Amino acid sequence: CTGLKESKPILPIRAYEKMIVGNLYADYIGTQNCLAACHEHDKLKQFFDASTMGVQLKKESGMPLVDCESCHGPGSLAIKGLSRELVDENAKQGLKTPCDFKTLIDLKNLPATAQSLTCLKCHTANATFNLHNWNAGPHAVNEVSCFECHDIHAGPDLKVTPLASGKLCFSCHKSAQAQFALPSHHPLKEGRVFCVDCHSPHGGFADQGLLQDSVKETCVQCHPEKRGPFLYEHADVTEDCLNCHSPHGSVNSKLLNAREPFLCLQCHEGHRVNTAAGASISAEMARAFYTRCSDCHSTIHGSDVPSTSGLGRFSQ
Amino acid sequence: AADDGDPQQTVGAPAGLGLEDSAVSYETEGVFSVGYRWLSSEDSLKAAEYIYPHSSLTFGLDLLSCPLPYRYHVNAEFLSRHDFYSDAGFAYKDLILFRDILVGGHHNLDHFNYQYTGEPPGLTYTDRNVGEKYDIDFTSNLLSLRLKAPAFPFHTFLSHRHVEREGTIEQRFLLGDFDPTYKISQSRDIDWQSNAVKLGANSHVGPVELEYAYDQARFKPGHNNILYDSYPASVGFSRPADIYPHNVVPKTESSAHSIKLHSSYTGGLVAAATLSNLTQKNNYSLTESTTWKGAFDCSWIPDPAVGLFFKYRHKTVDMDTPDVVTLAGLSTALNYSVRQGISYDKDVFSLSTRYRPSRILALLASYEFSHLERQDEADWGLLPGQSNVHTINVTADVKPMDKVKVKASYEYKNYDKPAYNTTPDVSSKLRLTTTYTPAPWLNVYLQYILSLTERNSLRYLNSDPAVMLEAGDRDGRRDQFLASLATELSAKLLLTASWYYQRWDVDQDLTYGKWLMAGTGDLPYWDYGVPYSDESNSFALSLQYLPRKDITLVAGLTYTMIEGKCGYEDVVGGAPFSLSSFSALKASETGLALEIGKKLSKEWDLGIKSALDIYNDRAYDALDGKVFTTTLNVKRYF
Repeated sequence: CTGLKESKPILPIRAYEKMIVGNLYADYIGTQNCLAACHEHDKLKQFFDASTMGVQLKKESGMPLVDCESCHGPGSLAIKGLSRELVDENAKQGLKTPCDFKTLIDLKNLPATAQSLTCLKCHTANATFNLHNWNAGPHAVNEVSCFECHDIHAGPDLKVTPLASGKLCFSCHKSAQAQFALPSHHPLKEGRVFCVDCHSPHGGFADQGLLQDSVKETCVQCHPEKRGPFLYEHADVTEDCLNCHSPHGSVNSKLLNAREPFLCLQCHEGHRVNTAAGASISAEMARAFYTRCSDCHSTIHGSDVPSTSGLGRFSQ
Repeated sequence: AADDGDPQQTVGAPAGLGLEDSAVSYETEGVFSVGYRWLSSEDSLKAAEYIYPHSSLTFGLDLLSCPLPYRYHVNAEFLSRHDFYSDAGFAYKDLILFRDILVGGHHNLDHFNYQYTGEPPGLTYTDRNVGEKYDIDFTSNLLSLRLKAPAFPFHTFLSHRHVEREGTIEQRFLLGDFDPTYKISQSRDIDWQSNAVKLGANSHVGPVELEYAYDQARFKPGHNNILYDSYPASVGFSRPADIYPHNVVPKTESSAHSIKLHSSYTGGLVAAATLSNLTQKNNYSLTESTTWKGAFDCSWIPDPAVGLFFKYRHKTVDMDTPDVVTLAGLSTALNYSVRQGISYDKDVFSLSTRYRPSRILALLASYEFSHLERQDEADWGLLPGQSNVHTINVTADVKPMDKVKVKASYEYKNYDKPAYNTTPDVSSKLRLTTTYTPAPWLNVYLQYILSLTERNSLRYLNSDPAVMLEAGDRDGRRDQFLASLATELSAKLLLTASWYYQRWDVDQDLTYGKWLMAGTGDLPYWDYGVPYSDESNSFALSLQYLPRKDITLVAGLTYTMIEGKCGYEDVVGGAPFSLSSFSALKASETGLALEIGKKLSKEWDLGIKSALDIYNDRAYDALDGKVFTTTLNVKRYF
């Protein structure tokens, strides 16, 4: 059983392993001698206790145990020369007793990949499959570490709540936030759609860190009436909804990339604009043909009924 | 840490501070709020697209309770029975993890104007429900349950997503054909439901980790999924007058199997592979499709300075379209042949490298090749059998000073045989981003993105004579600029301001159909270099002020201006209209928000929040409207 649950790297990543192993001259001292012992950490302890990681400090949690030194490295050098009496004495005088934190792993200043490795050491052993595409995913390639999104000292389960995900994502993806300010937008700022409804920050099959394997599979989660397959498909245009829609926001209604009829005329020849006698069609006929194509072609995402012509013109 | 042993038992425990393990105690904590929201609106609800336009009682609950080994959390917000959010979770040790996220939203929809004069009997507009307000309620519930075996990483999991849309929408359609043309608008009640279930398990199998999952999704379009109407006879297409179905929303279902396999995430070399098979079926037309998907990811970091990342994606879509469809009218049954949908194979290879010679500089370069091969494309007349895309991207991430970060990236794409006119032959994209933090209380962010596209030999399909034209060109340019400033003017005053500008310009040669003589078509008219543009400016200002310890004030102002133009020419000459006037766009949207919170005691808060949204449709006035909401809220901490 032990052999089965081990997840051994194909090739150890030695340079980063060295960064996160900690001070080789230090010994492990246990959580009670760091977190619980120091008044400076009182607030930190409260946050930590409320988190999954904090819960994992306690046997009562029934979870695999994690302690401060799992991430920060062995701490004996940090408290060298300190004693309970000294800490209490300083506290009476209103002084905090600093530990020599420089002997711990400098997590904040580690390269992003090493920071993530700190987390991945346990999460690979726990078969965490939402990280399946992490290593070649856009965040890992661009050196965005786990720390950027997960505050391991706070929050139940360390999961980013859907409501909080927007604020978190927009701290880097500011132009996406600006697009949601356009008049046509998904209700993200209203708190009824979330970044994580469409995107997986851990990477995935598709580009843009989409939650599902393609743009269409992502969109039809909430727009299932457009899933198909249909008898009359709009060729393979509808495989990628982004051909016509800007999901973050648009100046045009229905998140369209362009206003009708220009949207359609980009690829399709328009209806006839002259009469059989060669004169221009009337203003009303022009309005009928060149205002909104979808007035008549109302099943543009796919249809199962032939049009009057007997072809799939998406008008029936 | 993955071991279940007590780490404190495993260490040498030298000179510690001698503390004993204390008893575990977690107090349940949270906040409950109750309030009332007053709402008033004028004219169009465009200004309140996602707001339920009636006053309502509101409440909220945030709760965290950890009577170990159990953990519970609830975050809930209820603005009305059409507008709510809830995130609730339960965990027992790390053996049972349950979470349910429920969201309900309201969407006010446009009622497109059909009050044109028309030209009866040749052209008739009919709005069967004049003045009707259209809206839908959207509900989504995502439930997930994960069960873990004790002391061994074996999980089984279940997730279920339920999506429901209910309400009344505007159904627009064409009744018949051109001669005569009946354009109809009517109300349509909808009651759509979708259920998607995923079941799976994962674990370690020797040196690798393996997951299997089964997905199933069903969409039920409710009772009103087929509309019927009395269609006039079409002489040109030999279709008799009858009552025919139209605008069918079909019942669909899909299922998928997927297998994932990866090595340890922690190595210098990490590999991950995915294989999945998806089948989809339309129960109305019996159209089916089968999709095979494969993925392989590999990352190799031989040294902290260098990283190599390889990705491969494969997709095979096999469409199975019935050859013949029968259109069943009330007294007529007509058979029509159907062309096959597009089946295709797509392969994408990408190789990325990262080189970080120092802490202040990182260079990234990537190349991607995409190959798409279509089947049955000949029947479609317009689509190439193959399309290839080559993409090169180079990025530099520089930190020249402690206070400045600069990121510059350039992407070049070359398309071989692009399928659609909106796909260019070549495109370039430049992105520049700068973050400047001169002081801890000041942050400036600037971003500029320029995208350029070029396309020659556009493809248009002319129906009579049936010929594909390859001529004309298209040039596009998109500019996006974002400037934002965040400043902490004092410990009590935070201010953020931003400006976002985007403009899209395209010049494209368009085609319009042409009659040669009565009943006989001609090659189309060309409208050369039609300019189209969309432009927007969005300004946002927000302020957070703490005038006293017990008072919080938050104010926000947003203002967005949008404008769109297009310049179709009168290609016939002497036309009594301007095509461009039918799709003009000019509008502005203003949002004002003010929130004041007063702490009454350690347990009680009182708050009032007001918001005013104004939409000004400067092109047609049809969407002009105002919405004002005020919410009074009482909070109790416990």
